[in-house]
Amino acid sequence: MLRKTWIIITLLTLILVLFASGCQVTAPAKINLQKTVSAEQLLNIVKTKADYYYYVGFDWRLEPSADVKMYIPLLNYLQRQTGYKFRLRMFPQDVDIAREMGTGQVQFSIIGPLSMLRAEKYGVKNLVIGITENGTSNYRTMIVTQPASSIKTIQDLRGRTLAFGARTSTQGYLIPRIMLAQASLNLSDLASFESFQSHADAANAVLSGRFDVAALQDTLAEKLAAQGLVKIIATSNYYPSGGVSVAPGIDPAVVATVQKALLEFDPQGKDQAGLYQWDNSEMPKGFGRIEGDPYAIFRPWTQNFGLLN
Amino acid sequence: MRLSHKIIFVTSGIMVIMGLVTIIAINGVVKDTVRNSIEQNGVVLAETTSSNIADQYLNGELLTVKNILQNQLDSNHYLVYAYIINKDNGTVVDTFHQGFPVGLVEANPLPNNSTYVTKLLNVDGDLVRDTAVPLVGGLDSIELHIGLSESALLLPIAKISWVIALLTLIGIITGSLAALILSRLITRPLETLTRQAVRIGEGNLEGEIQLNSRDEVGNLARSFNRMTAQLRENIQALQRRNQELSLLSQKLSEREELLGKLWQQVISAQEEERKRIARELHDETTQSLAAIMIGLKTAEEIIPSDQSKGLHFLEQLRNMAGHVVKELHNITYDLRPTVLDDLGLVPALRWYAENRLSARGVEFELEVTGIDRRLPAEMETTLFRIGQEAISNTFKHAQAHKVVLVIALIDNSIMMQIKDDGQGFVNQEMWSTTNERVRLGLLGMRERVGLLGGIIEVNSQVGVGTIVTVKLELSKDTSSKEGNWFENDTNPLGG
Repeated sequence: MLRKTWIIITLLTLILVLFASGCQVTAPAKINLQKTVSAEQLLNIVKTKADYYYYVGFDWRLEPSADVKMYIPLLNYLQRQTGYKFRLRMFPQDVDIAREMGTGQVQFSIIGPLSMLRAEKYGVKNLVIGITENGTSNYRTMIVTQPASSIKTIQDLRGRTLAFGARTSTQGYLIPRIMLAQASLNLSDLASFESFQSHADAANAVLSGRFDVAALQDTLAEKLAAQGLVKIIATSNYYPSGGVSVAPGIDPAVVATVQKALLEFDPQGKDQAGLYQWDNSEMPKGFGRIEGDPYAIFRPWTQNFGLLN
Repeated sequence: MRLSHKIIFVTSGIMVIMGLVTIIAINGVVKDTVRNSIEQNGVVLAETTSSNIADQYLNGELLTVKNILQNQLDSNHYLVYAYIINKDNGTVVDTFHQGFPVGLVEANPLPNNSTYVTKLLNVDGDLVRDTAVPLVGGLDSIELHIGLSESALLLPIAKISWVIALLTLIGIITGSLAALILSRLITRPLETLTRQAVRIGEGNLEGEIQLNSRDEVGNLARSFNRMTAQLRENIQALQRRNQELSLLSQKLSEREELLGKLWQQVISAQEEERKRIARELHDETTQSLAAIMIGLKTAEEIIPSDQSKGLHFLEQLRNMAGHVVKELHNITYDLRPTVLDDLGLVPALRWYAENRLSARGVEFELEVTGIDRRLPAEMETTLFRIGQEAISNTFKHAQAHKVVLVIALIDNSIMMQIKDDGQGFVNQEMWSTTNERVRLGLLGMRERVGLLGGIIEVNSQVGVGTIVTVKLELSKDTSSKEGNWFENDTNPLGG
């Protein structure tokens, strides 16, 4: 009798153990779809407290997601170096990042000279300037067309269609306008033109045949030319490259710490690990100190072109 | 508990356990595998979706993003919802038509620097696997969430579990029936065997178990039948032995009775012999000695007066004394002839036969073969007494005209045969004769021979005669002492 009892107990225990192992450990949280929340309530719940992060904005250069992937490692580097928390803040293409910095939506930004000049009126200061592939703080713009195109020089653009970069882009818009001006060409001499939100979109416009030529950042143009996808018909002079700027009202100690970290950033050396297509940025070799007023050369052109408003 | 019930319980128990184990295994292992697969597929789907809509979302094309998410929801029946939550500005793009559920806001937040996170939610009673990924890798502030219905994905497994449960139930029913039939097949022959065992226990060995199956039970039944038959034979053999033993016991009793009578006869013969000796001593020797004493007295008186007459009288007394000596000699010879001790078996038997038979006119013939030495004393005595009895029977009862005595020693075996041509008797009546003296005489001969390990045969035929044959084996010890038998007698034949 005792033996039978033990056998039954053993079997029941085995079954219970098997049942227990096959069951959920914890009951899932219950969600009632009928119990909703208003947009205002949702904003209060979801939105992160402003003083928790330092938000970093940037000019669109390639695809938005590609830009994000490119800059996130830099922010991670800054967090590690400074101990502060940084977060990228995304804006649609038509949002003026200069104004966003002026209104405090963004504390730091990775922007080109044109955006910097536009933000100066909000008290935004240059923190560091990018060092380009040639080891200097200068870059260029190149005008490209399809390899089989009859366009050979910038003079041939008269009556042609031109794809610019974003209107806030130095390499995509300001320098090409300078090049056209230096070639005695006005926008009205073109058959048509359009500003695309990124260098990549402008390049696509040419590659797809929708536009005859496109004004691209030098690194992208040279890469596409090397692949035989485009041919370069004009190259601008070297102009000061973009950098990192800081909005007004930020603790100077924080600014100094961030600046120091940026100057120590070595994307081709010790900090290379974890970077994503950093060579496509305007600062592939890191950052340099601001000396004098590097963007002074752009001021007359921006005023002439009415780009500061 | 009956064996059939045990078999049914065990079979049903195994079925239940196996069914439960299968269901548990499916619910545990398979469901875990499917859940892992759902989780991985959810992550892949979320990452694919995020990469497809990231640029539109980041460019502020929220309506486009909402349409893409809705289209995905419409094309994927397992997708319950999808939404993008932006922690920077607090906005949400979702596929909910009646507003954003408050329970989802903090249900499955994406930890910083995480590539994804999943969590099982109970959305209006439906198990939903919520998967959250950053809209762009590394951008923690904007999360894409999708909800995959785990209940819908696990529905086939639940159906399989029900099917297995149903199959288990069918298996229990059919297994129980099969066990019932099987147990009947097993227990019926066993019950027959049990009944047979009870019968055997009661001592009834008749009848066989009729099982023609070639399985273990059939073998057991056949073994049982063989055992029963063997028991039957053994019991019959024991009964036969018992009868034989009873017969032997009866014979032994008769033999003991005869032995008792033999002893009485021996004692009686001894008394008779004493009486005879006393009578002979009294009637003859004592009378002769008394006459001699009287004669000597007379001679004593006569001699002084008449010496010659006295001497003559003494001469008569001397003859009388010689007669007395001869009588004494005969008495002692009848007791035990000294010739047997002095000269051996053959001379003793010859002396006895000639002495007894010649007086009655019976012809006697002696044939001796191989007797070139003396035999052991007890053997000579035995053979002499048997010969004495046989010869005595010959002249007392057989009325024979001739007696032949054959003594032969061949290969360490001595054979003595006494043949007569007397009236003989019927063999079968020999040991049951009413002549007590003859019967005891025969028994005495057999006992004497039996004491020495020999055999005696008495063959007789009415009108032809009787042959008494005695065979004795000389022992090896006796053979080895062969050289010592005649230390004091070099002529065993007495010649």
